[in-house]
Amino acid sequence: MFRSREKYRMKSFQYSQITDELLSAYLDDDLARHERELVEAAVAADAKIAWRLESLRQTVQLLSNLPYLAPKRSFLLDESMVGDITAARRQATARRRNQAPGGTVSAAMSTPTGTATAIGIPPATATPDATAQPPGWQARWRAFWQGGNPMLRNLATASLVLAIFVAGAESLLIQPSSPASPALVVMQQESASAPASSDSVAAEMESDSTAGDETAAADMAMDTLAVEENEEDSADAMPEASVQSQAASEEMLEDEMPEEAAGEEIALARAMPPLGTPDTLENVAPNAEAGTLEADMAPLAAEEAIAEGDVAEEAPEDDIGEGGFGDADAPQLLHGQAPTMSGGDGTGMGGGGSDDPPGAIPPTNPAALMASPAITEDLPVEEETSAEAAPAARAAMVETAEEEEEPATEARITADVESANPATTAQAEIDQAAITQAAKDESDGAEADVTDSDIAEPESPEPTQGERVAILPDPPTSDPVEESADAPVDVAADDSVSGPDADENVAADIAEDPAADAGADAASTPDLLTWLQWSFMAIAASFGLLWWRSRDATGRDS
Amino acid sequence: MMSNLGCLTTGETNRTLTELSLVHLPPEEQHAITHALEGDLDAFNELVIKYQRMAYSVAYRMLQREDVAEDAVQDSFIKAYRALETFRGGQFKSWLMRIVVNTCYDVLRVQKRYISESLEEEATEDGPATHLVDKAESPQEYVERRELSAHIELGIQALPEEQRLVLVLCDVHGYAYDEIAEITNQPMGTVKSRINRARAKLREFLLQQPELLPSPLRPKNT
Repeated sequence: MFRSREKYRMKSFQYSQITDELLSAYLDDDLARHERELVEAAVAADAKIAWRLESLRQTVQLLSNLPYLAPKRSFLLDESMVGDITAARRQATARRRNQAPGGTVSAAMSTPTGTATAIGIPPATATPDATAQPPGWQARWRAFWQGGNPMLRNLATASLVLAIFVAGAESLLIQPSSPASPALVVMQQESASAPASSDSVAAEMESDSTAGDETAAADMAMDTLAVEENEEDSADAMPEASVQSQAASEEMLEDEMPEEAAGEEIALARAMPPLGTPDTLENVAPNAEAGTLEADMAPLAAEEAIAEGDVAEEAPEDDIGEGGFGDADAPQLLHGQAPTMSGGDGTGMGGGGSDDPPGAIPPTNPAALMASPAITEDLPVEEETSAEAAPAARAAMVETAEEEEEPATEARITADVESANPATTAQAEIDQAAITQAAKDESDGAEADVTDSDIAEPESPEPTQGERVAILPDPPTSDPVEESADAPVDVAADDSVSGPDADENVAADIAEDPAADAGADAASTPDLLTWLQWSFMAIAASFGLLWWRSRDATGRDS
Repeated sequence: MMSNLGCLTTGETNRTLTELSLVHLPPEEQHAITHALEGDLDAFNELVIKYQRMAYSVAYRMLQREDVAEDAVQDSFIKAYRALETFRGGQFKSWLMRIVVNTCYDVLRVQKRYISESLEEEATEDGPATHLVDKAESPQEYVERRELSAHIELGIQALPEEQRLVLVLCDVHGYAYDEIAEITNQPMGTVKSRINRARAKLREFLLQQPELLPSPLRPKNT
């Protein structure tokens, strides 16, 4: 007996930490895992602990089997118990219904705000927001705007504003570059094409009379430069001894030249836009303006000189204009290279231009010279074509060349004149008569402008023809008529350069830059702005959603 | 109650109304509470019918007198109706039982001696069916069961008020610890401790008459 008690005590001492509270918590499953394991181990090892746990479980079981006690009476409330508060609530409800006519009673009754008014709280002091809602959309908008988390609301609004700002900035940033865009486009077009033929230019002028003023002005500037270059070449090539042969050829030209010039004038007058328009003279090709005017004056002076027959003496300064022309201008005119006088009065038409002394260079416009590269390259081709088309003229040229031992320009001029002259027209005769008369009038006032040769020295170094050809784009291989639309653009682009030395740079820019510079700026900036715009829109939507959820959480009416 | 609400500032009233969230209640309780707040007494009586038996059971086991418990329950429902504006969500049952318990405490403080004097009588009278029920039992078993029930009720009455309350709420009415903590406004640890002590005391009280107890509860070594 003693031994059994001793053994029981030892086991109980071993699990002395197993209290009734711990067992009760074990019954309620409110123990931690290690405590539960400890209780289970103790129950398994100690019968006393097991009995304690079982008796506690039975006690709880007896308590849980106790029934709910059924009351012998009802506890329903009546007016005698709570009549005062019931009356107050009803009055408050009726007052709220009177204050909110129009069917808002149900809404007020179903919300805590409506509940507040039902308990009889004075509206002015207790629940002004609940009972005295300011009418109108301002109040509703204020309630809507003030709901939810204000920080999320402000973030969403700020993001939306930034998105709108970026959207506006995208258009603002692109728009300033738009004035330059046409020029860039034109540069791209001209770099893509290869305008080298003056024939293509003329064909374009004839075929596409709807070309812009820029094109026309640029064409005229090119023509002017071409004339000047040709003049220069011929002046260099022609010695002083060729004055007589020049005179002979002038005589020969005197019969045919007006007709050709008249025919060419008609063709060009159809295609040439009116001169002096603002777009042509100022916006598009300011430097080519002078060249254009000179080109207008060139055929007049040249033809006057031819009609006058005074080869040795140069035409008056006024007739020549700033650029001045030599007799080498004639082929250009006859081939339609140079623009003509727009009028049909014929008073401005004259014979060949004045001959410059050897080595003398007529005064030229540097800007026009810069605008000329496209024409110089095609000139020999035209001469050959003209020679093939007119064998008779070629024979005359050869004869003249044999006599004077000078191949030069006069023979080609003659050949070109004859080959290019399609037919004699009545208009040409009329023009010839007018030119002759004008030449006579001017011969009286003409003075030997010997000093023109001195004046004609160019002030700035002019690029050689080799340089010009080198910087020119490749000649077109397709139909000149199709490609000629791009030809005037060269001049327009070159007009932006202030000096002849910049020709190479300009040409290089034209050939290389347009796609790189304009494309890079035009592609990267909108992409970035679009990305920013969408990012801000996404942020605004996210914060707006969070704000809306915060409104739901806190109650939209609160 | 009216005076209390009238003394609230605007901010306090708005806060109270904001916290008065009924979204977690069953729909019938939401409807009853909302309409009761508008002066619909019948709506509140629906809640009375739903919870009066539970309230009376707790009150009777707390007070151990039928008439006193009935009065306590009736006062509790009246208090609940008047203080319905202070209900700020949660379990309406717990909120109501807290009112009942506080009322019972008030009654106990006033009528403490009456309870002690009537314990012996109530055990012999036909009370409100506090005894265990088993329809398949024999007459002898019925008598033994009534004796056990009376003995259990005596054991509950022997407990201190705090332990009695938590024991009744936990083991008789099946409230969880957190609900008991909310009703009694006591920490969770205090509630657990009171429950464990009450069980242990009740077991010791029941073992004083082991012949009334079922066989598993009887001590084996005795």
